[in-house]
Amino acid sequence: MTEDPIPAIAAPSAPPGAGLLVLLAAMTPEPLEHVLASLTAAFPAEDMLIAMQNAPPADSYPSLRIVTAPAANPSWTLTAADFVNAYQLAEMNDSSAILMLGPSSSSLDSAALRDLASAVLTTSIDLAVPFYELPPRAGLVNSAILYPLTRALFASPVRFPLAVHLGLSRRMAQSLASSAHRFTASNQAEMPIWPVNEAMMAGFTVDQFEVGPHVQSQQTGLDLKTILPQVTGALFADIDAKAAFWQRFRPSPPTRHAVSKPTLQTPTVDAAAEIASMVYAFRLAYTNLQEVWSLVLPPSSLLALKRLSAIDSAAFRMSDSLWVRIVYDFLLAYRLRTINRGHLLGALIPLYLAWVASHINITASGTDPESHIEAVAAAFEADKTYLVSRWRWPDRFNP
Amino acid sequence: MKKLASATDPLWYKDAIIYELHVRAFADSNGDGIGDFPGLFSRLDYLQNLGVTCIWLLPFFPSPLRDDGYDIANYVDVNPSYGTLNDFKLFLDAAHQRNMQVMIELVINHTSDQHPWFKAARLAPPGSAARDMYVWSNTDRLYKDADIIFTDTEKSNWTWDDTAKAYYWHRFFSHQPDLNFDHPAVMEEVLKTMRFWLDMGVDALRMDAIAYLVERDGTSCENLPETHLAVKRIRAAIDAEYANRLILAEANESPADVLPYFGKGDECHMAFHFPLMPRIYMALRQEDSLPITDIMAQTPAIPDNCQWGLFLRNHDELTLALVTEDERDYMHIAYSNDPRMRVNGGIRRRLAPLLDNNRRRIELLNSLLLSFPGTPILYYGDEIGMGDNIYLGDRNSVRTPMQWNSDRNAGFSRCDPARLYFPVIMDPVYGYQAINVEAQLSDQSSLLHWTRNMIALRKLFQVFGRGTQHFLKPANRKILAYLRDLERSDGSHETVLCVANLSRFAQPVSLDLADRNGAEPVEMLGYVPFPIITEAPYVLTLAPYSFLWLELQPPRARPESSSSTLPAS
Amino acid sequence: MQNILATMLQTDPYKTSQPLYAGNNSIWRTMSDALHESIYRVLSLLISILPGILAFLVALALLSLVGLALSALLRRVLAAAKFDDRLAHSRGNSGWALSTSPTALIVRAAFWACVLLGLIIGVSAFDASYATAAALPSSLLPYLARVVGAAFLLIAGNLSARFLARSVLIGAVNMQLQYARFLSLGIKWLVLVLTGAMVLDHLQIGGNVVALAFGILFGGIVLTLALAVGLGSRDLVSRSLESHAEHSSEQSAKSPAVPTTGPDESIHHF
Repeated sequence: MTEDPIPAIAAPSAPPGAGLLVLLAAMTPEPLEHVLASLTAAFPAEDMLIAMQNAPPADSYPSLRIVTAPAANPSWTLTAADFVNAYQLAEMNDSSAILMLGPSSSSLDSAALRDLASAVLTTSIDLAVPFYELPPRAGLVNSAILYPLTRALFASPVRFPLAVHLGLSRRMAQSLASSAHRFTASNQAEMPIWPVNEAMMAGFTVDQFEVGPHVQSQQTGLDLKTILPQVTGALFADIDAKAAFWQRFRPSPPTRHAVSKPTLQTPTVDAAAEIASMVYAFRLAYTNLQEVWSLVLPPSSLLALKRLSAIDSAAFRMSDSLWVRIVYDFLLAYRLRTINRGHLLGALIPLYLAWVASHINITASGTDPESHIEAVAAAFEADKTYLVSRWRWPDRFNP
Repeated sequence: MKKLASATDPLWYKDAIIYELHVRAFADSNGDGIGDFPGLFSRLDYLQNLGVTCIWLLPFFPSPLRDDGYDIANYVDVNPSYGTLNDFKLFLDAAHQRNMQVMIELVINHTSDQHPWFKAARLAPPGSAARDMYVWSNTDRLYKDADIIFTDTEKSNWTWDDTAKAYYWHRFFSHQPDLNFDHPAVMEEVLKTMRFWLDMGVDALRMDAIAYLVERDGTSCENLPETHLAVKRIRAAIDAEYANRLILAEANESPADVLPYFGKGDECHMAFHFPLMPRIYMALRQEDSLPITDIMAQTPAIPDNCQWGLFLRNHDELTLALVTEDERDYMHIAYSNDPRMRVNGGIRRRLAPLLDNNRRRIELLNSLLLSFPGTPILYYGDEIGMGDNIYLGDRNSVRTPMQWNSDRNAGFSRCDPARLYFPVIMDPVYGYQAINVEAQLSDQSSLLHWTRNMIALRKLFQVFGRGTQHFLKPANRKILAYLRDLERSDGSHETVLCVANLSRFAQPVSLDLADRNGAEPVEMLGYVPFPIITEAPYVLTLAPYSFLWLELQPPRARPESSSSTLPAS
Repeated sequence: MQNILATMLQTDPYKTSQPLYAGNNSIWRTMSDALHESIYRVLSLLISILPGILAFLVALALLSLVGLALSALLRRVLAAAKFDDRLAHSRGNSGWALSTSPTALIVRAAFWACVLLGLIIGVSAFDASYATAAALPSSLLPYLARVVGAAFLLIAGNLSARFLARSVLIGAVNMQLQYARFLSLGIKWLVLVLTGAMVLDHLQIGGNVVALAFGILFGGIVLTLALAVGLGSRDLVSRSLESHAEHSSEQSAKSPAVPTTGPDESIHHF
């Protein structure tokens, strides 16, 4: 199903009803003002329909067409409920493209918004994903787990697969809404959805667009101990559901346009203290959680962790292959329900902290962070056979 | 009266199949819960049927049994619980009639502290002949470089004796004082003991703890030159007075350190290859042939009349003394996650539980045991896949009664179950109702039948016991491939290609057999001809944990017509 | 012998025993009378129980048969109505997590419900027919129900103890508490002790003494845990206090809208 060709956004005479639907998440008034200002600067008001959960601002933007979106629980990512709402609103208002903006969208400027929207409006791209310019030590969960897994299993080039701001075509929205419907129907409306995985499975086109620096406005509310299990669990569940697809799909490695500028990181005092605390957390977990880990990890990984726990924080390095095996084995244990899933993901946190400490050490010694992360992603791809073989034959008598 | 040897070939041990058993654990005839010689006598048919050619008996001498019989209180008699000397003679004759040899233990490094010699030595004045039978000292600082072997129970190799008012030396338990081989009377007694049993017709002697015979200060007290001299003396006595006998050395050392025990063919005939055994398990778990090829590369060549003794498990723990720290950690994580399974740094589990009772893995390891260069030694019960009981203390987890049938006490004894020397294995997986000889004899697909057939196959070919071994190093390291070759007296060769898949997934392998160009491999179990070897790499695919034994038959003179169709089999 | 039989079969409960000092003869007679009486009593008790036992067995057997018939009928009906498929449709794609189909579960549940009903009816029939002076301390049926309830309680307590222990272990480790394993063990035993106390109380065993003992034990465990948490989280508390102080000073130092100058070197996981 092809979308109707829409004239460029700059053209003034667009038929009413068609065009861009912008779905805004619930925000406090100040960032909301900022977003509305950016939107107004990016698109002419008559081409755009804004749906938001907040009450519309009194008279500040009279030319904007605003409708009320159904209320949804506020979350820093886009959830299942958001996608269902987006598609319903698009159907109702006959929009051909949707721009979904999460609570932290005040950091996106109008150029970024225009890029995202025009990609899905005018070209044949179905999913436009932002490419954030993050500082080197930000977005580490994404670098450690989300990006390598989606790249290795779904062959997606997207660097930031977690849905926070997106541009969708109508058919993409439809596909996402139908898979989101499963969650909303069974009372799990807050589950994060993985649009990149859906797009790769459906064969839709995906592209990423630079949007400049991004600040997560809800930084204080993001506790690693709750968010990592939630996000990683959602990704594991999604991978489990799409097993039939990624086990057969043998793609060629995607090319990445190099975007980052290599910067030399000198280790600061703060970083050393943080590293020390993370290594301490890992060591504490190693002594206490060994029984839990031994249910999930094979002997060679356990032996490597034992060696790792003896290294001091200055020289702390976790090899990429060990991290790959750990993530894959936890994914398998998630699928097999070896132990309670909440416990499983809680037990992953200290291992993730160990990876972070190792990553910072590696980058502090001169390696470009992006190239290390690319190396990690390549290691995930290389070891995919391990995952597939253990997925198909879960035997505990293995190296 | 000296009995003649029952074996006619001086190198009989190269073709032997040795079966290790404990009289106490095999069969009980008088209903006292302890196995005995008449019971063992009644089971000789089973052993003969299995294909065993040599029975190795763990110590059955009078003993306070604090080390399962290795603490001996009288060298020239039989423990009354196991029967009388006459019973033993009857058993020995019966075994010989069935063309089976018998190997007993010669535990000369130490005796029990209940032995009359030690009792006399305690009371004898220092410096006297009786006293010097053992190693005494006024301080415990002597020989401090020697390791402690039973780390779980002993804190020192010296123990103070109040009666003797001195320390006595013991490498093992404190109730097993070491004999003093610097004292000539000790050697005389040892030779007397040896002659007693060899006169009776015993074919082979296993020298227990042979590395520790002699102590010298400032050394590790293992493998000293004086020890070798003592062994050579024993061997000389045997060679002078008896024919076709065997000494098997138990020296838990690296291959290079075991080599001296063969001497120049004038010391021990056989020695256990201890370092290979844990590496087989490691290679299986890691799905990598490197641990095995590595240790075999480190194994030196031995004199022509000598032989390695190969085993997968024995009555002791699976020893990890000869692997690196990391390898030991790996083995513990992989095979003995429960700390109760470990003793003295090793793993006290049987073959089947170690391999998770997986029939293919058991068969794979047995195929290695039967096709590697050396004499295979089977531990009793492993031919039916018996389990273990890790809740029994020390190394007793692997010494439970033999499971003959699903009757009371597994058919081992007709006594009240509470009287058994150890309880029988009763869990749902390895219990005697499931795993027993009677059931497996009636089941054609059982492990017992498989073992029997494999032993019979091995006996058809001398190359396994007497040939050389050459490893092919294919690119796929999950495949272990080696050539066994024997040059017969008429100049012809007996060659077998063995290929084993250590992985739990099917594997392809490409072997370089260019130097065997033209040979026709014939699979040995089914006598199935395989494609003829050419200069090109020989490609095989192997199922999970499977193995192939291919006899390489020399190129036949083929007719000129080139149509070569394999005969339908 | 005939004498004894005759005496046994005589229904004469008003026969009193003779006075003691009526001579040797009467002592023997008294004894034999007492014996006769007790034998009579026991035999009559047994005879009176028999109908009860029979009633119990009949009720059980009958209702088991009813259960079989009902389950067969239910199976037919549910299979004809394609119950499994309808359920799958209405539940969406999440699928049925168990290995037995819903139809089989319902059929089984119906059968065992009938058997249980039979048991209950049988036990109360047994109860009703067992009407003699030597009564049980409490009626049999409610006590059986209590035993079953206590068994369920024990199982539930065990499972939740294990689950909670592991949750606490992982949570405490992630909070970097020193005594994580100790805490998890403590929680496990706390729940187990609680369960044991509830079970014994439910079965009305021990009464006050047991309650008191468990109270003391419970209090002891709670106190130890509190100490452990307090001691073990000193680091945690000091760290969190420090980070609070830093955070508040940062917040006052810069305004939220202005982006930070220079590269941001703090670690953000998201």
